[in-house]
Amino acid sequence: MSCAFENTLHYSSPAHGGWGIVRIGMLVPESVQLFVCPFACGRHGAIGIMKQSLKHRLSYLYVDQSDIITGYDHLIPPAIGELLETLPQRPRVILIFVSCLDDLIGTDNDALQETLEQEYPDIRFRVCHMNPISLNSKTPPGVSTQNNLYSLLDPSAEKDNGVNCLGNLVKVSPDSEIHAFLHHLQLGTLRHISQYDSFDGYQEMGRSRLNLVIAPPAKKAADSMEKKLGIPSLFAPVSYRMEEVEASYQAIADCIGTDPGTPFDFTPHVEATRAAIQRAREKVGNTPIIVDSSAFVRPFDAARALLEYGFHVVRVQAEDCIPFDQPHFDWLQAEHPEVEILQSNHHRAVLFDHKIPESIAVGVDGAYLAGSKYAADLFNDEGMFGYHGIQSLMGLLEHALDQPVDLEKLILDYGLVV
Amino acid sequence: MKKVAIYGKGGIGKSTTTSNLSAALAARNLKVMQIGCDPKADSTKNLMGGRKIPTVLDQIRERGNQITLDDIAFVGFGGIVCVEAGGPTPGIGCAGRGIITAFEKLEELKAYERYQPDIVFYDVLGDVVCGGFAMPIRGGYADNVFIVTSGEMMALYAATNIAHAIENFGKRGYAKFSGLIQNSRNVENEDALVAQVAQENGSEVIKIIPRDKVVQQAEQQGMTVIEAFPDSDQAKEYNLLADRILEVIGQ
Repeated sequence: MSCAFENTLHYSSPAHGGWGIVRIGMLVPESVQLFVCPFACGRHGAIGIMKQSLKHRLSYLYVDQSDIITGYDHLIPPAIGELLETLPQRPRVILIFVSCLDDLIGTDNDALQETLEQEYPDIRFRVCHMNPISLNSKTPPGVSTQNNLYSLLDPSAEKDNGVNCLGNLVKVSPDSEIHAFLHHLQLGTLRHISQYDSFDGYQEMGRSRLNLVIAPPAKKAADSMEKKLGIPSLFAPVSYRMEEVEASYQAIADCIGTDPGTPFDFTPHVEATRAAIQRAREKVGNTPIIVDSSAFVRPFDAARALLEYGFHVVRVQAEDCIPFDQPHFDWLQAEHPEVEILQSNHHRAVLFDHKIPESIAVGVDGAYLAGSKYAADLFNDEGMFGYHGIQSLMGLLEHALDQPVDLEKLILDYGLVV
Repeated sequence: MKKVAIYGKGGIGKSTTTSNLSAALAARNLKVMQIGCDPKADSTKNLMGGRKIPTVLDQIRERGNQITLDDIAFVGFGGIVCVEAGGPTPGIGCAGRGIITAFEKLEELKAYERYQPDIVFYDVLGDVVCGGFAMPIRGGYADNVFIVTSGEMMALYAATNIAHAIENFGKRGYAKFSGLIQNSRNVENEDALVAQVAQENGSEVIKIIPRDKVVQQAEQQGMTVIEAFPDSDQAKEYNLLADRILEVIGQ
């Protein structure tokens, strides 16, 4: 199964999953969600959000066969009215999620949104799609949900020196050198949607000077923000390769164009990174490493970085290769054909004939399929950026061998729902 | 750019009328785009020398995300940009979803921006039976809707149904029902019957197209009447229809 990425019957492991659109949508401050779907379609989101202790912000309007036949858009405004009667606090935003049924019915959601905004002028509405059938399209649910999040920002006549960080669902670690670097360029805070408690506060992101997109799912949202809000964007995806980190910082400096006089001194950060790599290598030695896409948005970038640092990467596990990771996939195939590429959702994964118990897996899905004794606690590049991101990864590897992983606990604590 | 949807019962002559209309307008140096919204995918056949072009849905199936505008838009008679939405084979799948998908793909590939047509015709199959078939009359799509009908009862019944759907959407400020086009079948008392239905729906018959065997003769050659018999009486009728359409839509 080393020939990756065949479209076969999918296997879904207990370690499969991510944030999901419900949790992503919950990033909007003072928002609630109404799902419009048959009741069975609500299971995944409901269980997931209960685990996140956010169930008070999620409601369901169940539709049945006759509603599907006759169309259900007329049922939604009264359901919103009923929902508002029950909420202790009036929300500023209501996200209405329709299921993939709606892709067949073709509800006129623009008209629905207009009707609702006329009826409830103090509330903003967005109709979002929970449609896994769009997974292979250019706007899969994760992308369209991020479009909706940022479409709620209003244009601001005044711009300030803030920088928005988009694409990542958890803010970059406060210990990352990016904050000092932006300060050196005379820029303000690195803003992230998760830092705002109020919808009015969130509007601050509309005043920012730059959108720094560090994960691909927000690229489209950034394009829309450039048109609507006049905020230019720069795509600088999280990388674990020092060369790419350096290039990203250079791109940010070029994009800003201000001359702070003296260049930012990255030397201590580079040295600290090299030292962290050295420590991790000494500790990990020749232990086989599995790099998994549940930990990295670009697993082939991460695998390349680790191989270049001298680690013994034996497998990269992913469901596919996103275009932004393709050069690293190609590099891996050319330079390290011995590294296995395992498609985690391939039907033959159920044979469980790929066990490597004495391995360190970076990513829970990789750990599950390999039965790895050790695993690094990393999901979706969370908190990672720049040299500090590499140091953090090295720290995870260094400490992974300290004790065997309790994988079930790791999965449950993160809130994954199969 | 003006966008016009042409609806009507299946087999009533929508594609023939729309293609001749497109050809007549293209002959006046207008940039025309015709989008067939019918799983049969033969709306533009007579603008393409009798050749059926690959449909948007076929190309999506075949090429996935690699699809480009050149895979789905083809230039036919008079520079008319021809597109066929396509759809499932009869009895399976969901034709309405097919239209939605095709429209989304045209938007995504920025078809209107690239070709910048003066006028776009959506040639839509039959009744507005679900959200997909209503897509062309929604916000951002057609500005005006015309319904092709004959004096036959089923065609008139379908026309009334379509008019009701447009009226329903019209409340949202979408496409306007702009009149009936009578494609004559030489039914007894035909003009009066069609005029009565128009009046009942608060509209008018904008043009009566007489029945003429020259239409079939042109189609046998894979052409419109405008292309095959430009000097015929029937070509004049289609030109008059083009005049009326331009007048009604204010172009």
